[in-house]
Amino acid sequence: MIRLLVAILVLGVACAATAERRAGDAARDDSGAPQASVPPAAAASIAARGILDRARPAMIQIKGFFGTNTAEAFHGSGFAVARGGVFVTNWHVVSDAVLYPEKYRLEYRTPTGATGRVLVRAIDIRHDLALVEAQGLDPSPLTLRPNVAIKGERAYSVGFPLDVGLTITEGVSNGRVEDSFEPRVHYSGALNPGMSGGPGFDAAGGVIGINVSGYRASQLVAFLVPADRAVALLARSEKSALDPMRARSEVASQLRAHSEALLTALGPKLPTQNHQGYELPAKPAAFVECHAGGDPTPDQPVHIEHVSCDAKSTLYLGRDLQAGGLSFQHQIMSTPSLDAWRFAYRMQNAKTPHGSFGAPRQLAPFACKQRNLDLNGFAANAMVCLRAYRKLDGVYDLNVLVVSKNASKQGFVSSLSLTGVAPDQALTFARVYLEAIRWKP
Amino acid sequence: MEAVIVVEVLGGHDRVRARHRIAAPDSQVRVTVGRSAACDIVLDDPFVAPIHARIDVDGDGNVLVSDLDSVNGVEVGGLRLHGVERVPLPNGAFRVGRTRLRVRTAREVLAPEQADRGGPSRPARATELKMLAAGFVVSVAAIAFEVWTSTTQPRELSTALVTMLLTVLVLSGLWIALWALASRVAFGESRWVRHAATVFVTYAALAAASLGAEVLNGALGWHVPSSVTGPVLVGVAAAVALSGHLVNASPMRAPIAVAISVAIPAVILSAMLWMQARSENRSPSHIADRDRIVPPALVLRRGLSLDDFAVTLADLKARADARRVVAEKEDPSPGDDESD
Repeated sequence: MIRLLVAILVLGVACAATAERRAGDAARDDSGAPQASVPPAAAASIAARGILDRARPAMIQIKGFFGTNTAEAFHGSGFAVARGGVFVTNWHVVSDAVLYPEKYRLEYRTPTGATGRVLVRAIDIRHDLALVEAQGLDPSPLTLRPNVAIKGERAYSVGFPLDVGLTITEGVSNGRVEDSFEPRVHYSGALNPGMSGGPGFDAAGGVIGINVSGYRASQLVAFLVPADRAVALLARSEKSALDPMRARSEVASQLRAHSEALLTALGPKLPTQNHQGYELPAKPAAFVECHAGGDPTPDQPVHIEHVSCDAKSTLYLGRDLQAGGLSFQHQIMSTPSLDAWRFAYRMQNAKTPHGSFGAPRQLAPFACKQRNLDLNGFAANAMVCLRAYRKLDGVYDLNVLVVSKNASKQGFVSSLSLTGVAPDQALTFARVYLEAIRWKP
Repeated sequence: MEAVIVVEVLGGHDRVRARHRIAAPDSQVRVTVGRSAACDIVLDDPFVAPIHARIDVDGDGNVLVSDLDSVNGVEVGGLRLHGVERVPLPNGAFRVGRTRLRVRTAREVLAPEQADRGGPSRPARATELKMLAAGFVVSVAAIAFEVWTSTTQPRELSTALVTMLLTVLVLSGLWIALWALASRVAFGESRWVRHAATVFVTYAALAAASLGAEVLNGALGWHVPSSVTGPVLVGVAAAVALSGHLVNASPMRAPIAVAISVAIPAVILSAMLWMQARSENRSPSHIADRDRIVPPALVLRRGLSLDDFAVTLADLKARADARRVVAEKEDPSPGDDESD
């Protein structure tokens, strides 16, 4: 979960760009031809020049405008992947224009200053990709390398960061991210807002991935979508533009497919770990990140252990809307000194669901069922809640809250949050989650 | 025939401060009123002349008043009269200076006595004191129990207990004083024991009922959420307490006092519950927790099996869809910054 919160999509937003503009003015010499006199440079930098020269004709900056404004609302990058002016970029660069076609328009600007309209042809929200058509442009496409770059391979990233013009950054590929549900290439190099949708290259100039996100708080930890995802999207894309009326149902069905794949990957039975007699769901797959901790101070009236797991599978769907995540948390409580009544009071206070936050624009209120259960042989209280998405049909969020009621000196509160899922799959998984919980002192 | 009259000197709220019984051997009575010891009825009022007025009762029993050339005159039926002779007093009442007097004769027609159907209509003071003591003890115990429940360390407990008790005592003291003042204005007596008993007995009953509801919820899986039982119990308690206070602090008739006491909490409570329901109908983050966790010894009913629970979940999707429909209807376009 920590990684998700910190990973920032490298979409440029107008206000972020202005602050950096003055600093970036010096770097603005890249829109023309290569400079005549090249100062002596190391081999790597000469390679970077070669990559940039190769990329330049295939690059566009994609800009979004709100209403009839001529000042931009956001911007990102894109590059040609097929003849006929077909470019690839990130879904999160064009999502506003796809979801609110009446409010946003998309335009491109090439490094030489040519401009024109951009139409969205196909989207892949699971991998944060979109294919767009830049009207009036037909550059030769860049070569997509279908196999993932290996660890330690020299890599480059090109894009339009912070609106300061076409830029190349140099780094190293760290191969495919292990333990990630959606495939990502770890690029150890700079990726800044505005470079979203730009290409990541190997030393030979083949595209190994598409710039997608980076960690602001960390140093040079950035991610690319592997190039084979763009190949797959290209293969299934249609020749015509995406019908705006169908866009939301397309987003909903891709989201459901993502969640279904996620739940399938977890399997029909969750592994458990015993915490003070309670078998509770434990790390169910390699891509699920789990943390556990507690307050080590002795002599506390109530000892609490926290376990939290997150599949880091949340997708960006649009402004104020992210879904497709799965997370669960346990609080295991015990008391050496408190009586049963006061311990029950503490359990009651700890009984709060997590992950229920939501924007009223996007989500309807929860409908809940709460019952005292004989849960696999011990007394517990369980609440299962479902809420519908207001603008995406057939997509729901699930929240499950389970509290033990069987012991006077120990107990647990466990909470599950699953977002952007079909309702039957949500309830099936709720059952899987409840079945995993057992009392085995 | 001997004639007898009674002259009553009235105080605030028409309370009789002094009663003078005057008998005359014949059927006519003549009584003088003033500050002088020579008068039949002696008053301490500085606005009354030494010999101020005269009361006559004629042979037919009519009460008449005459002003004996006083500076301030006599006031009859709201009119101040100077130098008048033998003005009839329709209900026997008149005023000299700042003192009200009432003249009663043997011919006065009185209502029949009230039937005594066993016991005093209001609890005797001893009973009131007993109720106050019981209510106070239970209230303090309930507060102490609540504080004890929410603390874990003895040090924390003692601080919280003292703070809580002091707060409750000060607030209830002010509340009781306010009603006692109202009683004093209305009836000339504070009735503070009655008001204090009302406060503490109601609070004790409320605390017991709330605790009972919570324990029942946890023990039997009684699914009424505390967000509903809480306000309802408080509302009922407020209605009961307000009726007790109003009946004892206002001259209005009991049914009206009770109606007002029920109406005020009912209006406030329904407005609050309505607003709460409204905000819950549009808040996607709200999850109502209906069940209490109680110690295992109090869990009296076996819970549902997982299969039975799964059956109850069958309509959850339909209910979520219904909430979506309500949200779209009540709040079709929520503001951008209303995420909560």
